[in-house]
Amino acid sequence: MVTSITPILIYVLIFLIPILLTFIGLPYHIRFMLKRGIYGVDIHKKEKPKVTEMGGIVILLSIIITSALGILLVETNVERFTIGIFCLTVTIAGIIGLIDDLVKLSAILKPLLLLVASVPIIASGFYHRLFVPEPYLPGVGQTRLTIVYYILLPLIIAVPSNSVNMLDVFNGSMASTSIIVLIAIFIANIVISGGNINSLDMTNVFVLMMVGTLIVFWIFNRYPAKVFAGDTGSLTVGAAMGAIAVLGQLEIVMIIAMIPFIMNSFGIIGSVRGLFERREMARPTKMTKDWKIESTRDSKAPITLVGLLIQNGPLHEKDVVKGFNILTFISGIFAVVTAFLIKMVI
Amino acid sequence: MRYYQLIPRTWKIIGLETFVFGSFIGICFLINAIITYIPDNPLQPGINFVYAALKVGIGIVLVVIWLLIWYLITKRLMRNDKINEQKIVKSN
Repeated sequence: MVTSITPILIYVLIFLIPILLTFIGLPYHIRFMLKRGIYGVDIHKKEKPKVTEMGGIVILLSIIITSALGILLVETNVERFTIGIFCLTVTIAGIIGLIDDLVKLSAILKPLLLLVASVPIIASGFYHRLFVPEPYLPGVGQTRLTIVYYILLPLIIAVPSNSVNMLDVFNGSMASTSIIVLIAIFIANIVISGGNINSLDMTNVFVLMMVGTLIVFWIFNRYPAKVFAGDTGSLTVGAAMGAIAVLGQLEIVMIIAMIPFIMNSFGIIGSVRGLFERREMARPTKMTKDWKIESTRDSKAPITLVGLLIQNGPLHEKDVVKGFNILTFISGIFAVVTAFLIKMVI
Repeated sequence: MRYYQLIPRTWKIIGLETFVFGSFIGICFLINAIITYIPDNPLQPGINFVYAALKVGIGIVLVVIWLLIWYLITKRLMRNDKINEQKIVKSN
């Protein structure tokens, strides 16, 4: 006789397993990479410490292993298929990030390759379409975009991936802001779906999986960082957010929750007029004598969210990240308000 | 620095966030009004398709305008900061 597992227990396991995996995996990864000389230098610290690179590999592995265990835990084939597609999408983005960490892809090629990450979601239609091409709009309800949605779908994965990547510039910034966005999405999803704990909601499963992974990653990545996520980590997390938005029909809520990320990308792309790699652009910030971050005032440097925060004087790295957190928290509140406005019309 | 001490540094960006959110909600209600205004015509599938395409088209145009305004304000806001910074450098 097959004993079914209650949704609550699945939620708890899906949250705890990545915590355990990341907690075990990261210290091992740090030691392994340092031993092989794969590290970067943290330029925002006086001591210029060596910090392990590509911590995103552990994030990616944690998602893959938790997804595999999730497939064993859930009951229906559609749920198994959904987890598989989510895992595949995130893995493709993660592998692109890994390649970028190893061989440095061009700033044009990377976003183009990220469009490929949406292929599993689009291809899911051949077996069982996992997404509804009818995003919810506040005050409007469900919209029918069908053809337009298919055209936009690759962007829904590629844009968050690149946006998260662009905000991963300081110790703990990517992890803390992503956790805030995901918590907002979790609450918004409960608001829209009604929060029935007796049925398994796959959006909640993916959010809990990501939050579990990112909480532990943040502990190692916060100031002073012991590990950097690298493009492997930021693209993995961004793709996961995009996939959650598509699979959970939360596209608009996700856009609102990610306002600071998008604003930062707008600033960078608009000011340098195109896509360039971080290393190809002039540095927008420099360090003061007391190791705070101030603007270089270089007219060729990209305009970033950090630039707005340090406009009235230099800030410590920790405070810049706190500024990011405040902005993401505000957009998170807006995302939840959006969810309530959607709920009113559906 | 504590979180509340950082609020004065972020008010301008919070203002922009609020504008982006508020204008989006406004656009959504505008889309809703347009959708209600353009009737459904199930008896004539051809015309109905044109109406549906018109609704989607107007919605997309409005969202694109919203994104464009958002982009322009972000750029403008950041450019002003850059000018202010350059003034500070000159005065120094």
